[in-house]
Amino acid sequence: MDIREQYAYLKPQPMVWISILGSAAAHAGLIILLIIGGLVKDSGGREHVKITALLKKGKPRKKEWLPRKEAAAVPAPPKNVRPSKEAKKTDSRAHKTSSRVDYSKDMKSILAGLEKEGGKEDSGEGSPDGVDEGTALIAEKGNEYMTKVYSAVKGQYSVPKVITERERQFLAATVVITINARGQIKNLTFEKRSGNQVYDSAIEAAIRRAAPFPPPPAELVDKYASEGIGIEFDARRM
Amino acid sequence: MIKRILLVVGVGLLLSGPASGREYIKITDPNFRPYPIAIPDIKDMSGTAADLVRKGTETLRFDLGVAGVFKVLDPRSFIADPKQEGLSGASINFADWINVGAEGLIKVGIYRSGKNVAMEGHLFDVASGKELLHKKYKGNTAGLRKMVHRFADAIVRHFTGSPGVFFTKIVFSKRTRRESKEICIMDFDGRNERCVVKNGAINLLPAWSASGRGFYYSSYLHGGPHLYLYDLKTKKSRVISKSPGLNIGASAAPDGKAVALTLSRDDNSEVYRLGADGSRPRRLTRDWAIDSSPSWSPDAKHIAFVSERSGNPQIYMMKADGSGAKRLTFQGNYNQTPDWSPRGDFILFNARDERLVYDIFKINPTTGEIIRLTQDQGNNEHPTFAPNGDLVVFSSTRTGESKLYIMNADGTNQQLISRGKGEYTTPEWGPWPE
Amino acid sequence: MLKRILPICSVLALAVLVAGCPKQIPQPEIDAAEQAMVDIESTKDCAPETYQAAKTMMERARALLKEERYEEAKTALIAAKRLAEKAQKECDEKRKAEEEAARKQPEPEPVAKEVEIEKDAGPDRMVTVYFGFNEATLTDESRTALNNNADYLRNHEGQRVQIEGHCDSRGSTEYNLALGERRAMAVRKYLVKLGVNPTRLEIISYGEERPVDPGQSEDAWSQNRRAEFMELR
Repeated sequence: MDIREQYAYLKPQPMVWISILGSAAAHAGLIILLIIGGLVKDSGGREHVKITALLKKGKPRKKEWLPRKEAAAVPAPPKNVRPSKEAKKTDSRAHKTSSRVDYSKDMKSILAGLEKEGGKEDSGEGSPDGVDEGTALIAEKGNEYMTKVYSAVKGQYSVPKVITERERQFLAATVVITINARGQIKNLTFEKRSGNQVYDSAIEAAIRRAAPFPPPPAELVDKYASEGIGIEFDARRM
Repeated sequence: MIKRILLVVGVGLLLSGPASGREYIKITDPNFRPYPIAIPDIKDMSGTAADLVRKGTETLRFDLGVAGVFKVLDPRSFIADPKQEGLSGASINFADWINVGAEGLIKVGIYRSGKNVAMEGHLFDVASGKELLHKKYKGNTAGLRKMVHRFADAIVRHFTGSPGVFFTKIVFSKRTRRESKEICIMDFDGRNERCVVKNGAINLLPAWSASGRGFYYSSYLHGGPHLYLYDLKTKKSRVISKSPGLNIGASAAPDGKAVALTLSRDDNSEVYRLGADGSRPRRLTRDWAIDSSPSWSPDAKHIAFVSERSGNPQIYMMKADGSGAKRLTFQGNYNQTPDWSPRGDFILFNARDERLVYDIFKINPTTGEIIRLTQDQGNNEHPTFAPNGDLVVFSSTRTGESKLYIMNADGTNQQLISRGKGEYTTPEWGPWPE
Repeated sequence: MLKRILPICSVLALAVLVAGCPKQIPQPEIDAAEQAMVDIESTKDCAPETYQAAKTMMERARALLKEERYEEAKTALIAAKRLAEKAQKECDEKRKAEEEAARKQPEPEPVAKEVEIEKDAGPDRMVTVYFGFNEATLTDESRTALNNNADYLRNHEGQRVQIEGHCDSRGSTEYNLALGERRAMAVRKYLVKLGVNPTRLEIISYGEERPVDPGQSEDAWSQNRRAEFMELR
């Protein structure tokens, strides 16, 4: 067989080649977009995992100030990887109000202003269902439900004090749960164990105490029943 | 055939990517719940120990409350009948204790005859009714608190594997008159306060020697201020450093071989290290700014200190030979008094926040993360760690005059320990007793 | 088939490479600016405004670096270096002017001595000098006060003096001892420049230990941030 005949089956399928090229170009374009958006560094090697942005509640705090004790200390940077139009608007607004100080003014007058105001902050946008640690200003279907799951589990998340300050710095575990249409836990497995049995038991107990969760939105029922929801735990402070 | 499969797989891979996949949420910062423990009143077994029983119960509840890992339940909520119950497991109705939320139960009895005292203590696991500890102590009435401390220590060791701090001491500076300041010592709970350096001059900034057999302090007695070392046994001070200018802020290296301090003999405040007896001074910092307040890391390889080389005082660290100076704090613009944890994981410091209030924070020297420990409670200054790294002593003006408080290393459970009048300042928690 | 896949792969590989490239930290500019900042520390007193502007710009640059806004940081670093050089120049010029002025100063003295008959015995005591929060620099007011004190010392030959540096109660005991000493040193340096023999001037710092006003108000604090003069026997 000559070469032409060997690869003859490829000829009548130009669509396949078009789709490969198109996909490659789209991915290259996406990667460049991500670089520009400066978001690539956040994913740290686990490209298949998307950390959902939780709804934000309350006001952010200037970065050069010392932290306050309440949970709404420094909002985590928005990790919403989908570059949809709405999300882009969310990102830029969150950025403007949280971490960027206007350096075009004279620093002295900024400091003087700070001391007088005692920290007047932004609009306090978010959602009444949101949590202090959240960062997304607009509820999209997925992160609204995830926020509810987060609140429920966080409220039960307690660990016996047998675990020392030092250990709490590096303990981390990931659990995957599948939820049925009524919000009950179908299955609970450890994707990653912490190595400390006391800690792992406490996490599992916290999730079970938090269930049943509210019924998931209709279009996500299948996803949460099969793929499930992942919960990453660690024991560090906010 | 294989080529076709490879093609499909290749296309499939190309089409995958960040567009689909399981969603994750991240949960951090758990509640650390303390172990609920019930401490009913100590039993007067001989009928003659009423005052000892009261003192002992108070001390035991305080000790275990301070330990940080326990929640001492309110005795007013107890439903068990103290007359029916004894000290032994058989005499205890554990259901009564389960019902008040206890996981641990402590039963103590005191027998007194004249000046002699015997104390018997039991620790039970409420869920199983099992006895976990049974201890006996003997002594005289004056030694009662010590017996209670030893029992509390045994309980803490049982649960955490580490000793309790009940025999440690705190050294501090106290001002009762305008013109002078004295150096005084108290037990970790504020008792047995006694002032040992009282020479009519201003005496400041005491710091324990590594062994705890004495402490360094600075005094204006002969001008200066000069640095002295006070020996607890001989009750005498000797000169360690009297170079011209300041000789202040001593910090003993944990291995007992050196002491770091601030000298201004070269016309600028710099951090130096000397032998523990003051010999062979070696300059560690070299710049035009004020460098002061050294604090050693527990392995004696690094020293944290304060420098205003960036324009305002910030916390830095350097190697013990002065090289590799690195700035640690980048939030706030007035950070001072670093104290390195005996575990090495955090450095306490005092900082002025954006509301111009002075509060206590700690920083992780590896990650730079800053955690706040006090807030909205007056000005809180000069924090130092207990030798177990779980407790902190500091001064606070929350009630007006400066007094001494202790708290857990996470900022919880803050309580007043100083008992007298006057201004209590610059406390340093002592090492484990030998 | 290979011929067609190769260009696709190289496009993807290039994209991945570009993704992996870190942003450019302006290291040479950082080094130059930091060196310049160290050099100008001695200008704190003689060119305070430019000095402060340079420091502020440097802080701005550091904050931008922390936020990884490297282009803006680079601009700020270059600006900081330029301001530092400006402060250095200002100082040099001022020093030259001061030296000339100091040389000129002794002249009025012979005139005063001649007029001694007229009962003008000069200042009758030395006055306290005050400082701003966390500052050890002399204000114009301080300099006037010190001129007065120098006169007094000239009229009381051989009188030795201890300059005491003090702070207000804010901040740590230790840091305030160092700051108090700074203040006393600044005062001594100026008096020596005015011609007082340095062997007559001792220094001691009391930090926040000896306030004149124990109150917790700006009024009280401003009274405590001072350098006092104690005559020694």
